[in-house]
Amino acid sequence: MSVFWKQTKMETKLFLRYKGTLFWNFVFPLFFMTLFGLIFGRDGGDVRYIDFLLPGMIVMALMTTCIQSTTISVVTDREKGIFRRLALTPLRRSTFICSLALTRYLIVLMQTVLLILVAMLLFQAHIKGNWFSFWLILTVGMFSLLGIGFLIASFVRTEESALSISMIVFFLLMFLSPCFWPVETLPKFLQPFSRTLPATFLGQALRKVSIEAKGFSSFGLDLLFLLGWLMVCFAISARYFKWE
Amino acid sequence: MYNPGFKFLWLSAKICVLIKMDNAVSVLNLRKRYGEVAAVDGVSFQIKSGEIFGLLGPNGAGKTTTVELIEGLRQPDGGEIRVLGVNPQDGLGRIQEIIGVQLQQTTLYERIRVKEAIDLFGSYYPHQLPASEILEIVSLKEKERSFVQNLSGGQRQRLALGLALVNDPKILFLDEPTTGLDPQARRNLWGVIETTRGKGKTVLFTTHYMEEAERLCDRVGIIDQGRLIALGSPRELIEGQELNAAVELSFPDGIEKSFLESLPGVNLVTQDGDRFLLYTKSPHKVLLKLVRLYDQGKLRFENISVRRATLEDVFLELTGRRLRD
Repeated sequence: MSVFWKQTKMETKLFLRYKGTLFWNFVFPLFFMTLFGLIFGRDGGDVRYIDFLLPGMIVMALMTTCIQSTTISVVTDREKGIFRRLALTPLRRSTFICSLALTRYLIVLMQTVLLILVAMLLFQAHIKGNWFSFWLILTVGMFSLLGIGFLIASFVRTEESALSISMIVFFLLMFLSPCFWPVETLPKFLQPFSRTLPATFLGQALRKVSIEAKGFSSFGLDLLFLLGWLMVCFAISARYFKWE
Repeated sequence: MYNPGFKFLWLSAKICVLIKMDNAVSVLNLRKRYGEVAAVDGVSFQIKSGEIFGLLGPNGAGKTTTVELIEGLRQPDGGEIRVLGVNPQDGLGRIQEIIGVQLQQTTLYERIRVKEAIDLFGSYYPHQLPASEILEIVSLKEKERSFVQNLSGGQRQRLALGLALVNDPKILFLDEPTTGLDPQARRNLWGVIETTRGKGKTVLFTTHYMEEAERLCDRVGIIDQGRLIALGSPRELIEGQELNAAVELSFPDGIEKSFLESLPGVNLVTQDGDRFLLYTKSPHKVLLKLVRLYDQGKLRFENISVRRATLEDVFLELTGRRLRD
């Protein structure tokens, strides 16, 4: 067990040591939330835009950590031969993967707390529903986005392509899923596609809790779809992921 | 009181001990292909416990592939490997606990500090040496807080060696550990290898520096184009080829190689550009003959030197090529 914790601690430290990561994972979502909050914050009838925006920005932050950062770091470490070096130690691959996932989870929790704090202090945002439900959805959503990250890392070989492909996936997901705006505002032909994306299930489940204060009976199906995505991604990754 | 049955038992016991206990590594008829190329083509050798064994050969000879097969990083297409009696392909993690490896190139996380890397790798093993001891051995004490990205090439290589030593391994594998090091760092590394042997450990390293192998190794295997072409102690190999001494010289007026070969005492003549090498067991005889011919005006030569034959000469004789082509 101690190997697992030491590995996780080190991975987390390493994650936070890169300025690029700090920018994309912390500054970027905060910046967008503040910008859109300042411009449109007072808009909206029953629902204030900031209350709509906060879960969206959390989804966006999750995507940077789980998809972009994870794909790039996994592909880079593999390309550089770090996995090869680790294969010569008794460190188990399962331990390595679990600590990688836990590291991402810790980062995601930090991002979420930061975004919620800023949204509450700066824009008086509210999370109306149950905090436990919010956390549960966040956790399931983070693992299913992590699944996408691993899925990309299973098929991408070089650091360069990891960079561009994860960027494309990230932006597609950001604009096609309801990070900034509701699905209904997308062009009609894109809507059915958008409704199948994990980031959409995650966003709408979070909003059901934070805006509508709904319970498990309402977001249970979203969780199920997220778990579905998770299983599909990990099944494919398990088949195609290469350590070298 | 002679008892053949007893003697037979004694001998077989001895053989068993030799095979099972005394060999840190044994490799039998090892094969590995990459597409059409046979990178390792039927290599067999044994490394005794406590021995420094050098695998020599030019670039692309199959040294690295052989070593990586033994480490379990690659899967052989054929043949048998035993590392302390265990097949590296089964019992995952068992071999890794007792070996230490420095790959030809080790890349680490850029933003990890030297001491952190040593601590992290140490945490993977049930037994580990204290980080301070490792830092001492590889002389990186004053760099312990530096990020890997800020280390020089030589320092990175020392860190890679430190990581190979972190579990106090029974067998140490070093793949071209001195390539690209400055002379001072090379000497330090030799020191580390010798100290490691002093502790009763086994070392397998690859190099294309013959003089290094000659200095450090108890035994060497020379590998070329995937085949082991010579195996033995450096002295045995040199003496076995009757190459004890080499007279090196050039002839400004040119000369017939067959004439040199006909000189008494000359065992072998090789040519490298305008330089000729005459290998002999009795250099004084050859020199005397050459000087006489010179004196009589029958022959002109220059830049003459006499030296002890080296492994480089053995390689040259066996393959007709220099090592660092």
